[in-house]
Amino acid sequence: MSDYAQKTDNELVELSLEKADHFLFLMNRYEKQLLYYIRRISGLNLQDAEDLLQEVFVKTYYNLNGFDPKLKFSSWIYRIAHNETISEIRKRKVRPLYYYQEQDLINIVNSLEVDNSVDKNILKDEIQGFLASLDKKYREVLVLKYLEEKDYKEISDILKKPIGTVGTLVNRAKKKLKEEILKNKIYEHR
Amino acid sequence: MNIGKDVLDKIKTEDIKPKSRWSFLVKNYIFWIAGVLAVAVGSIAVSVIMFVVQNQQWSLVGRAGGFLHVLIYVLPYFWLVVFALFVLVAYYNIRHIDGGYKYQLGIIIAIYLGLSVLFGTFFYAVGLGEKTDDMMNRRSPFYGHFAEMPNKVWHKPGAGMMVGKIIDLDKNKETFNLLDINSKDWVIDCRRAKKPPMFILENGQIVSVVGHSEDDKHFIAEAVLPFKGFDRKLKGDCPPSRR
Repeated sequence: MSDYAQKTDNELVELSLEKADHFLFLMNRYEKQLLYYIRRISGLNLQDAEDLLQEVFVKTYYNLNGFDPKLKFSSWIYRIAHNETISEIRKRKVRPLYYYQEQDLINIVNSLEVDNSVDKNILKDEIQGFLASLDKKYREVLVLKYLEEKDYKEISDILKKPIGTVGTLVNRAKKKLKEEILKNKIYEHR
Repeated sequence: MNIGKDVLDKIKTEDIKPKSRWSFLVKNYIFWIAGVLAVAVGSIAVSVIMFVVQNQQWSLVGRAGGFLHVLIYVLPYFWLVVFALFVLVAYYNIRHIDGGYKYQLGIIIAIYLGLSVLFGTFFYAVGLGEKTDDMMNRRSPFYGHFAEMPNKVWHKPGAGMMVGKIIDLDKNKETFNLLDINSKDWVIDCRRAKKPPMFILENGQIVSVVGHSEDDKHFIAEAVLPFKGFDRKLKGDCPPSRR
């Protein structure tokens, strides 16, 4: 069984179609990162996020024949997780609270390439509020780019948007965050 | 919590099977076919637009009130709306085929326009634009209403132009009676009228007459031209080969 760890996602997809047990290896491979992702974009508590992830995996298995091998499997399963999460948020009819870890916030602050006059410690504390104030379309590309560390092609496949549009959204999202920083005067006290 | 294990148990207990491959293929083919149909309808729309625009009396624009005024009357709105609608249908379909989301809206519209103009020009050249316009005129009163709009701009006796049907051509072809689009009878003197080469006046023809009125019954024609517009009143007792 140990050589399954060496198999590619696409090979595991083919094996899972032959026997459901193989799907367990794919689930184990993506469980942790998808759980984080769901929580980052929904703010669901751990229990609810785990329940949602179960539904994501069942849906992925049910649609396994629809997987296009030209895509990366990770992009495809992220897309399913994204859609299921958005649909869950809509069902709950509540404004989602976002869940970011300390490192997430540091990553986003670093991505902004702000100049030295900005106090990065204060910014790190404030950035969560700024992120919450962004439109969903900007927040989701920032999460995928800087927290999930996906490239533009992967984000395009996950969100089903043209690559050019993704690039524009990332740039606009960063610009809007910088505007918030300027508006809130987060400068280092000298 | 071992999520993977729980999911696998659920898959086995509830006997969940992956949806068949062909159901995904069928869905993809349906979107492709709908996309092709959208291009076909767009091309037909373009061919009719070309036919309608081509067959206006553009040489009379000055008498009719100027280019902009004429354009407002003669634009084939019905087909422009159909065309715009099917741009959206094509966009929806392309977005839903595998990988279709990679294309920007602008690129999809440009490709759709390009294909529609290309095939539309071909359809126009083989006469499909005219046939479609004719068929729609005959079968849909709603469409006929749109098709009659341009006639109004070309029928202004006071400005020296009329549209109507020849109902009583004298044997020397020097005068004829014209039933205009308002069902009014006119006596047309066409002795000095110019006509396009190969154009022979006949009873039942729908024509455009240019000249000046002598009174509210008599009109001196300077030119008589074939008219390809549609009018239900004139067409009502006209043989099918109106054009």
